[in-house]
Amino acid sequence: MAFEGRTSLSNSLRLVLLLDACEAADLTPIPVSRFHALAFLANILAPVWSEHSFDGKILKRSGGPFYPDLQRELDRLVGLGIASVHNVGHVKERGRWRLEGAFALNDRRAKSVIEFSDAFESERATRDFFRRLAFASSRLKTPVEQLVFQDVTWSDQRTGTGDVIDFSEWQIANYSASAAQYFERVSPRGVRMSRGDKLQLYMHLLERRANAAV
Amino acid sequence: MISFPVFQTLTIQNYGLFPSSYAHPFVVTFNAGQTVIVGVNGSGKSTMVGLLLRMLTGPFDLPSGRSDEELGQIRPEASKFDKRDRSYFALRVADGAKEAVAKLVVKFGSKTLLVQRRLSDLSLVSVSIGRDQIAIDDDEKRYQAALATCFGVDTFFDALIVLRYLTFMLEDRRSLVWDKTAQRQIFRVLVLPPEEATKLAIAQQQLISADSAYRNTYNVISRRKKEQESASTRVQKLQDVEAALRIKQAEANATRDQLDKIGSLRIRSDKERREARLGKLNAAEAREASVRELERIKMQSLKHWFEPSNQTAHYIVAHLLAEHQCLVCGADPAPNADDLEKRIDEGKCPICGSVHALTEKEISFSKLDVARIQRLEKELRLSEQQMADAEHKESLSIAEFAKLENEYEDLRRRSIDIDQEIVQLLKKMPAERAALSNAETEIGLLDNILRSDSLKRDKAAQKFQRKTAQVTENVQQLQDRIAGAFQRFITLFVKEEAVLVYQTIQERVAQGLATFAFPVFRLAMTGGSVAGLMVREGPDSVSQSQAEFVDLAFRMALMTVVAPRGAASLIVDAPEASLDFLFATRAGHQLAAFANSNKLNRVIVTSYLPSRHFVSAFISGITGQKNRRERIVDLISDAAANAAMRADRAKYAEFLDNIVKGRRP
Repeated sequence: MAFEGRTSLSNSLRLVLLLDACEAADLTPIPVSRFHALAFLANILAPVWSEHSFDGKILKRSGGPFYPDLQRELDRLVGLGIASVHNVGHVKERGRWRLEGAFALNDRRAKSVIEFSDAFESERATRDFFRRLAFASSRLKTPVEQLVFQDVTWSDQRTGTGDVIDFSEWQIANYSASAAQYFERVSPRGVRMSRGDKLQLYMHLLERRANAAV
Repeated sequence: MISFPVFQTLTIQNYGLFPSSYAHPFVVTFNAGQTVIVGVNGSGKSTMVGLLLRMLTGPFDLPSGRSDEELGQIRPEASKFDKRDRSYFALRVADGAKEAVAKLVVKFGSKTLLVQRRLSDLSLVSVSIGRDQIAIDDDEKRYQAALATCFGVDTFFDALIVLRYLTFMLEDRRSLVWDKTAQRQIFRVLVLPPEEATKLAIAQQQLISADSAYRNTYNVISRRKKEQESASTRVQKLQDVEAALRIKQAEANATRDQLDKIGSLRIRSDKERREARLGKLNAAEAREASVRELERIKMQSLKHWFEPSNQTAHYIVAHLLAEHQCLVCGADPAPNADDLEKRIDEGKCPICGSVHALTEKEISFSKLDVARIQRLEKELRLSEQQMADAEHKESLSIAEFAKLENEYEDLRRRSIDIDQEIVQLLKKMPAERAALSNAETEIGLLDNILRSDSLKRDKAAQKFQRKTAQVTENVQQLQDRIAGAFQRFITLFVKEEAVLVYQTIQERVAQGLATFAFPVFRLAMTGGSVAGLMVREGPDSVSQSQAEFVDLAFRMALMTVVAPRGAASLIVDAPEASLDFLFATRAGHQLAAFANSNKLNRVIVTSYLPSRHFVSAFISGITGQKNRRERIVDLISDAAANAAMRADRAKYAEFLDNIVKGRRP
């Protein structure tokens, strides 16, 4: 998800839809790091759902995915009363302070926004994708912000920490989506795999990799 | 001096069409003057005159050209019959003429030729000239040589020319007066000494062959030259292409150099834009950290004023204080952020400015906090500036990269296009060169052959020229006599004025460019629709009956002139077939005139008795019924009877009897 210069309604709407998905999957209030991890997965797995990645790059941070612009937009949603923040705090990490806290939708204010988005086919598709992704992650024991380190693209050693992971901005290197799509090819004959199944399987893969890594 | 055949007797044995046996042969005696073979249709008239011809020629004839005009082009060699043609007489009788033989006695001047053949296949049984027996060989070469000697010509072929164009006018109606090339052949035979006539025939054939060889070579060269021209054109184009190719190769090199250069720049630019992107992301990280640190301190100082449950308001205010941006309305910078901060500094409620309720609490920033805040604010401004710089740098580097990328792609496509064009040109070049080289070599060889062919043709033409000039000269000397004789004979037939016009014409032999002088006689005749004499170019320019008798008159004239004291025979099958009764009478008189022009001449005609006029006129000069009767070969009485003859033999006999007796029926 590209959140640069995000003042457009579309960008805000996508953020609302992601929070809505977290709400539906009972993930809210969702901690900041988890929300950003989920946003990263939403970007990198978008092709599985035939969606475009909203942001094709991310800074490979040691603390995991974090989109400063997304956070600013999220802050703005708080100011607008659409989102609420909980357990606000700040932690110092490698000499830098970062926000800690959890965000949730303000149902009363967000309801009209979500109803509005339902009028559009593309927004409905995005909402379905976010919800399926959020459900997939909610079923796992390992938190998403930990699983994301096992993502095949994030964990690709060819991109070091502190460098930019470019999976679809200036190059095509989305190994995560390719891995998810690959499940169908290795599934038993006659078994047709839905897009949701692929997402679910990919999340399971990440968990297995996380468990193996421990 | 040429001698024409003078037919004496024809004796037929065991041939069903003319009932006979060894003991009682069917004998036809050709007395001097006129003989008329009469019979109904199918009685064997044409067979009998055909037998006269074949007794002499055997199973051979002139080669059949595709047209009469081609007589001048054919090889001077007799053509042998195939099996079917040899069976001509056998096929006309039920027994295949197995036992049938015929014997012909013919005189050539003082020589008497006796030839005996089987009618089943025309093979020779015996030949003698006078008392000399001629040995019989398989292909009749000895007989043919003997026959040529009898004619006074050099070859059997020339004897055939005389027989077919002078002596016999059979159903195929070979024409002489209307055929320039036939005239050339007959004059060659008639006016040159025998050996010279043969040499001329050979010279003509050599000329034709040489001309044919030359033309074949010329045609091949022409084709090759056209191909070469085409190849040259292509090579010329190729040379143009080669020039273009050099330019293209230079262009390709330049493009590749440019591509290398731009490629290097592009790689560098890509690196720069990636660095700029990373710089921007790091700047955003740094800014985020600055914001959150400032936010943390300010939230810390505000926490006394907010209930723990109202974290959102607390967060919004802290954010406003940290970033000077209102999260509610988005105003940046928020206008009252300074006022808010001042209230906090003074220990007042940041929202309403109250002081009383919180006086005991530590509400203001400590001096340490203020110093840290100032430092952090400075860092935030710096990080924001860095972020702005990084964004600007990224923007520039992206634009630069995009420009280089486009340039690189254009150059790459151009380079591929040029390479493909070069490959296409290179593919063509070797084949074109080889083809041209081959064509040039071949044309060089063919040119040599053509020069040789040309020399041979020129030599053959010179030889032919010398020989044919003699013919022309001799004919020119005879022209008046020929024309005069013609005049005498034709006058008996046509009432129009008709003359032979001699011309020396320039004609090509075969398809060569060189022309030669040839003698030719043409018919000039008055007519109902023309004023004065008008040259008639072909048989179509006169009536069919006129065409035949004009030709007969020409033959008569030639035989009369070239052998003024020698006798000759003329054998015509059904001359009256297309004539009305007046012309039939004239035709009879004309033929009789030739018969009487030499006391030994023979004119043998056939008649199916369409009227009495022709036969009556033909034999009218013969005195006495007995003499006239002797001139009639009566196949009505003597041939094998068919149904018509059986039914009406008496009527035919009475009709013929009236003719012989000179009575009107």
